[in-house]
Amino acid sequence: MRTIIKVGVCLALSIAFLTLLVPNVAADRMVNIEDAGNISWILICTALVFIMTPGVALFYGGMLRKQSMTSIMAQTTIVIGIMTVSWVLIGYTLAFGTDIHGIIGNLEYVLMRNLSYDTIADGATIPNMEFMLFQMMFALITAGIVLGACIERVRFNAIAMFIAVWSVLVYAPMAHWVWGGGLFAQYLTVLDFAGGTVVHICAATTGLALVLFAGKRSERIMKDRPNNVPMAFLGCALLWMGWFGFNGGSGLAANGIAINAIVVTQISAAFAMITWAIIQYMHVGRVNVLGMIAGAVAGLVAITPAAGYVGPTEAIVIGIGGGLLCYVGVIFMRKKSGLDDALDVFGVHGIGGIWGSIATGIFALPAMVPAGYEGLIYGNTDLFLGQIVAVISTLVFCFVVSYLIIWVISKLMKVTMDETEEIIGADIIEHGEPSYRI
Amino acid sequence: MKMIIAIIRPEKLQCVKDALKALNINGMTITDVRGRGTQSGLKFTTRVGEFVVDEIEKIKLEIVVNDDQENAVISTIQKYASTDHIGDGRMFVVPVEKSIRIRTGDV
Repeated sequence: MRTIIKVGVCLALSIAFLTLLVPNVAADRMVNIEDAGNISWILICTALVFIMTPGVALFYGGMLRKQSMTSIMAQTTIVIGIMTVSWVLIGYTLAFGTDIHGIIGNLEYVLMRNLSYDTIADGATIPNMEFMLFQMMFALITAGIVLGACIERVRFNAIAMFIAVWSVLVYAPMAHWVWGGGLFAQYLTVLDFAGGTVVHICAATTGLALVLFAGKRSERIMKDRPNNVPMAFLGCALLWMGWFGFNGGSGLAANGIAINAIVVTQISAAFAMITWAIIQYMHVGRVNVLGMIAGAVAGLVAITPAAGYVGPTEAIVIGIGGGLLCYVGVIFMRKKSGLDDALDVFGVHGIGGIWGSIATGIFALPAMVPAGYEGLIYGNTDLFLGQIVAVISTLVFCFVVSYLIIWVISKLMKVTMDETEEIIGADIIEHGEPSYRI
Repeated sequence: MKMIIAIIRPEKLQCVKDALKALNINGMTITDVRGRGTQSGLKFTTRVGEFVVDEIEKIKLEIVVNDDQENAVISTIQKYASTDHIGDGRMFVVPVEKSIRIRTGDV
C-alpha cells in the first residue's frame, strides 16, 4: 500500500509540473444567447448519463445473490470517484488533446487547464469544458459496466487499482482513436455515434479479460437466485432514461439529430425487448422481468453506435437483431463458453455493441452521414469494412491490455477472494456492511 | 414419529431434497437461518486486524417421518449434505406426539 501511495504522489507531482510547460491557448468566440439551447441540452444529458452509473449498480446488484449487493454498490461508487479524478487529471487530455501521431492526445488540458466555460471553439457547439464534463460521464459508465462481469470474485482493492490504470491505458486511448481524432478516425472509414466501440465493446472485452483472469466463482454460490428483481428493474429504468441523454446528447447540440437519436433509441429498445420476450417464451415457456430488461438493454446497446446515422426503419432491424443476437450470445456465454461472466456483460454489451457497430456499417443513411460514409446497402463497402476492422481492433486492444494490467496487479496484491470468503460474501468480508438482514 | 431437524449448507439443499425424494420422503419445511457451531464462526484478516464472522448462513430442514424411516433419512442427509469440511452442520431428532392433516383432521 505504501508503494502505491508513493507512486501516486510522484504521478500527481509530475503531472502538476508538466502543466507548467504547456502554454495557455487563447480560445475562440464568446458564448452568446443563441448557444443557450445547446448548452442546456448537453448539461441535461450530462446529468442523464451520470445517473446511468449508479443505475447500472442497481441493475447488476438486483441480479446478484444477497451477499453481494453492497459489494457492487461499493465498487461502483469508488469507480465513479476514480474515473472522475483520472479524467480530470489526465484522461481527458489524453483522449481529446491535440493528436500526437494518431496514438494519443497531448497534455494541453492536464488538470483542466485551457478549458473554457464561456467561449466556444470554431466549429464546436458548446464550450470545451462542458464537452469534457459530458465525456466524463461516458468514462464513468464504461467502467461501471465492466464491474458486472467479474463481481463476486475480484477484490475491491484490486478492481479499484485496475480501473485507475485502465482509465489511462485503455479508456483514454480508445476514446482518442475513435472520437479524439486518433488512429481510427485517421485511417479508417468508421462511425461511432455514442460509443458502440469505445463504451460497450471496450467495457465488455475488459470484463471478459477480468473473467478469464479471475476464473469462475465457486460452484457453491453460482446457483443462487437473483436477490432483488425490483432493484434490477429500477436500475434498468435509470439506464433506459439515461440512454436518452447518452444517445440524444452525442450530437452535442439541441437539434434534429438529437430528436432522431432519441426516437431510434426508444424504437430499438422496444423491438429488442419484445424480440427477447418472444424468444424466451418460445424457448422456456415463460417470460420474466430480468429477461425483458436484458432485452431492452441489448436494444439500447445495439442502437448506440448508429443513433445519429439511421432512421426509425433501420432502428427496427437493429433492435430485432440486437434482441436476437444478445439472447443467443447470453445462452452461449452461460452454457458453452466455460466462462463465468456473472451478469452477461459480454453477452449483452459485447455482442450488442458488435452488432450495432456492424449494423451502422450496413444501414448508415446517405442523408445523415458525410459523403463516403454510406452504409453497405447503399453500395459503399468502405464503412462496412471500416466498422469490422474497428470492432476487431477494439476487441484485441482492450482484451490484451486489460489482461496485462490485471496480471501485473496480481503480482502486487491479492486479486480474487478464496472460496470461504466468496461463500460468506464480499459484503461482510470486504465491507463489513451487509445490504440485508436475513 | 420423529422430527429430524437438520442444519445444512445452503448449497447442499437441492441434492439433499433430491436424495430424500428418491426415498419417497417429500414433506419438509425449509427455513433460512444463521448461527454458529462449535468452532464459533470463521476468522478473517484485514489490514488492521482480525475479525470473526460468527453468524453463518445455513438452511434448516424439518422433516417428520415414521420411526422406521428415521435411520434412512438420517443417513441420507448425512451422505448428501457432507463436504468433509468444518461447517457441514448438525442433525437433531426429537419425538413427535401427533401429526394432524389440517384439511381432513386425520391423525
